[in-house]
Amino acid sequence: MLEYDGTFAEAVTTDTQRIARGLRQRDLALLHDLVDQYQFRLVRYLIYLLGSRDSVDDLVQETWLHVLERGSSYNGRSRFEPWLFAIARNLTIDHLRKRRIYSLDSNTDSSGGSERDSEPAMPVSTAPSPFESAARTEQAHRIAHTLQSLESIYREALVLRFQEELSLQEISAVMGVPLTTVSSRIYRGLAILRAQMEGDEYAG
Amino acid sequence: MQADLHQSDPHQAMRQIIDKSLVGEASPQEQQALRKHLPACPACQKYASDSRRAIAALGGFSFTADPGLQARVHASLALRAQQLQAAQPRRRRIVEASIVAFLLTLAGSFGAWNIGSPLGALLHLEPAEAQTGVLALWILPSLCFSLLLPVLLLLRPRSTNAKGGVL
Repeated sequence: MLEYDGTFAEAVTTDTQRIARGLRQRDLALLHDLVDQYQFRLVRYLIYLLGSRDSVDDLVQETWLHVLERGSSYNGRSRFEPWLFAIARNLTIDHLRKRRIYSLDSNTDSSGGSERDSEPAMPVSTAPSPFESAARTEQAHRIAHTLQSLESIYREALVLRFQEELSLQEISAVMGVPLTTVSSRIYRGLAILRAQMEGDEYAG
Repeated sequence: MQADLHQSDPHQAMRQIIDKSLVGEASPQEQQALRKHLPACPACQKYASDSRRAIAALGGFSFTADPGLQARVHASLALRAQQLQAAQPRRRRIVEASIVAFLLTLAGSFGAWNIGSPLGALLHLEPAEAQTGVLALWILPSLCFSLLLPVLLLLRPRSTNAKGGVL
C-alpha cells in the first residue's frame, strides 16, 4: 500500500513538473490538453463563484490566456488545479470590480478570520439561476435556490472542498484566507444546505 | 474547531465531529468517539445521513459549457502565442540597444575622467571644458537613451487579446 502511495505521489509530481516545464516553454499542445482536461471544472468553479453564467465564458478565456502568459510562475511543486482556480478567482474579482458591482462591505462572515478585500460579491441578475437550470436530481433541485442565495464565499468553499476535492490548505491558497476561515466557511455552507434540505431542524 | 467531547450535549459534540469528519479535519480520537457513539444514536445517524445527502446534492448539477467555447479558447491561445512569439525579437532588440547605450555611457564616463586632459590639449580646450563636452555630447545622450528604452518597453502595451483588449 505504502509502495503504491509512493508511486502515485511520484507520478503526480512528475505530471505537475511536466506541466510546469510546458508552461515555461509556452507549449501550445500542452495548453490545449490542459484546456480540454480542465475546461468543465473551470466553468463549474466560475459558476459557483459568480452564481451566474454571465461573463463565465469571457473569464474562462481570460484565465487560459493568463495561464499562457504567466505560466512560468507555476512551479510544479503543487497541484495545477489550485493555481488555475486562483488565477480564475483573481480575474473574477478584477472583473467584478470593473463592473462596479463589487462591494467591500457585502461579504463578511463571522468566522473570526481576517477577510481580504478581495471576496467576490454575488452579482444581481434577473437571468434564471444556473443551479436551477443545471439541477438533474431531485436533491439538486431542492438546494438550487439555496445555492443561488448563498453568499459566494460559502458556495466557493463548498465547491472547492466537495466537488474539486481540494485539501483545506489548497483552498486556503486559492481563497487567500487562513485555514480556520476556510473550515468555518465550509461548516457554515454545509449547515445552510442541510437546513434547506431538512427544513429548519438544524438551522442556527 | 475542537469538538468538546465532554460538553453537556453529547449530540452537539458529535455533530461537530461529523462535520469535521466530512471536511476531513477529525482527529483519530474524535473519529473513534464517533464510531462508538453513532451506532447507538439515531439522531446523530440522521444528522450524518442528511449531511452526506447535502454534499451529494452538490454533485447533482450538470453544467454545460457553451459548445463553441473550447474552440474559441484554443483559437485565442494560438493567436496569443503567435503574438508573444512575434514580440520576442523586438523586445530583445530593445534590450540589446539599451545595453549598448549603457555601455557607451560607461565608456564616456571613463573617457571624460581619464582622457579629459589629453583631449583638451588636442582640441585646444581646458580639461574641464573637454570633460563638459564629453558629458554633454556623449554621456548624457547615451544615458538618456539607455534609460528611455526600458521605459518604452514598460510603457508599450504588452499584448492584446483576441477581442483587442489589453491583457
